[in-house]
Amino acid sequence: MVGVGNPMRGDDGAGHAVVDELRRLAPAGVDLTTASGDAAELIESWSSAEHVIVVDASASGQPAGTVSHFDAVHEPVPARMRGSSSHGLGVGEAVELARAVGRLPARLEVYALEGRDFSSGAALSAEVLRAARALARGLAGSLSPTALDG
Amino acid sequence: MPDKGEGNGGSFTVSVEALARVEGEGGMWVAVRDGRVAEVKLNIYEPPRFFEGFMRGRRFNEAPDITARICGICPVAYQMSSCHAMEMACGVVVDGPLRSLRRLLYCGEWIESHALHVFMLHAPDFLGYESAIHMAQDHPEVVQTALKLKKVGNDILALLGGRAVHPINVRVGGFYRLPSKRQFAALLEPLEWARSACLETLDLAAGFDFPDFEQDYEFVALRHPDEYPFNEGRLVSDKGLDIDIEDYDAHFEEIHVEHSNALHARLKGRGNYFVGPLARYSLNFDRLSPLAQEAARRAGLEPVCRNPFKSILVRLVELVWACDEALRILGDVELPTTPSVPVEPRDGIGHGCTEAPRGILYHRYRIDAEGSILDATIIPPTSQNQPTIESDLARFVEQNLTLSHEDLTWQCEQAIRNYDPCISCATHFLELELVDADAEGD
Repeated sequence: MVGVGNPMRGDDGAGHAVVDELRRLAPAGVDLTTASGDAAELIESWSSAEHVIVVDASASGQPAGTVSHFDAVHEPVPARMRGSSSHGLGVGEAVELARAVGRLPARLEVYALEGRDFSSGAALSAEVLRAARALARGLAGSLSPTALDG
Repeated sequence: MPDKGEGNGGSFTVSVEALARVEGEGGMWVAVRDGRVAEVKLNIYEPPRFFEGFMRGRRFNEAPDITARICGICPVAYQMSSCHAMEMACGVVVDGPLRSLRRLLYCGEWIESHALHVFMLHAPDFLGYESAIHMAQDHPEVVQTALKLKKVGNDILALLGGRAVHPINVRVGGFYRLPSKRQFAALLEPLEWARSACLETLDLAAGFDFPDFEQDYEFVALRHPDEYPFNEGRLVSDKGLDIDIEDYDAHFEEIHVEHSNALHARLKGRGNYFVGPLARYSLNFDRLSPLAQEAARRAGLEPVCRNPFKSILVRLVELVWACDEALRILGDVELPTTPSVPVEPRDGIGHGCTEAPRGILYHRYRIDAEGSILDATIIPPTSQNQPTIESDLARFVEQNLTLSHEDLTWQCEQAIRNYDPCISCATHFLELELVDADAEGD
């Protein structure tokens, strides 16, 4: 489970916030980590996992706090998830690069939390914080090793 | 997008609002009037981050960790320049095995930074792809090599720096903790693979088409009596500069231009200069390892390279050298007896100038006897290269007015990517001038 983003850029910290919540809620045996979003780092982070869940912030024009979910193994990353990183290669690029070179895990789910304010030093927006907590609670229930095997 | 040329007397603009495959956020704008380049702007609109301002009042030994946050790609460069500056201010020299391990850490950063640029950001330009993703469909082996190379660099950073991104194990005086000899030994095999992979890639890249674009730059880089430069040396140029880093201020200046949130640097009385792999290589070819020199010659490079489009070859030569140097250090690594030497603050000024992957990174700090930072100056390589990037754009457009608008725009972006600009680094600071409107009689 990888939370992606930069917590110093407001709602870009949504992925980290979900992981922070899960550190209290997730069952043992689930590997929780955070990443800045660099494509090579992400591909490396899931190289030894079978089932990976990535949570990142999105800026697609939906209401703040909206959660989108897609199965990255069976569908391409939506265009809105690509090219949004300030450092060139982000989550969308990591997924598509991994697909091209055969380094996708068996299961890869991506959750995108829509952000509103990405300014430097800002805190998470109230809507994003609520959505991050709700997503963490939902994921905690499905993150048992038995559920993951299924 | 405005049309090019026809029917308007050879007047047009070439513009890209958001540059692709560069670190950070910026654009470019070139205006041509009557067949001559009238104006060029490398627009740096990424917001400034005021690092120098908030360094004031912090402890001298916080500088490596704070300034490392300026860049996710080259944090080691910030740690090294700040450590050297603070050690100079405090009258301490870190030598012997600790110095070697610093060089090893820097090798890791060069490997991961150059691998990212060469394979993922720059290679698509030469192979005709819009991005690394498009390139990966046809050339998955290029991306596989890039990922594996980057991991080799990351592993060095993780081992010596504590983690691969924003390392936390570097301190003024050395390191917090040292790995074991067994952990160092685990780096040998991946580094040997990396060196071979870079040699093979260099041979392939030598066959790319390079625009004919040799320019009369003033190259500026560090030069050390015995080593290809990382942490130490005199600042030299191919046009007569040869100074101690303490004299940086007497020879260089920074100015603010309206279209950039990053200060432009220039040599006083001389103007533009060029820092980075091309400058480093051209001023230090004789300091490369024999293997790297031979690889460069086989790729068709002369000991001086003035074509920035060939920087992809030079970065590959530096990758070969960085692997070679890391293996050399690991081959006779002696673990230091302590992870760091004590550094006590004293009233003083310290300068640090090291070779970041993109060129010289200069730091200067003034601290008081208790170790508080009184003021800080940080001049990253991309700031220093901005005027040269703009002058390259002007010359490139003037030489290629017959290209289609699409090709010209594509190649202008490439002319910028030649420098591997790190806009995020460059915008660490903006001088703010507060004007009292009332006092001005508003």
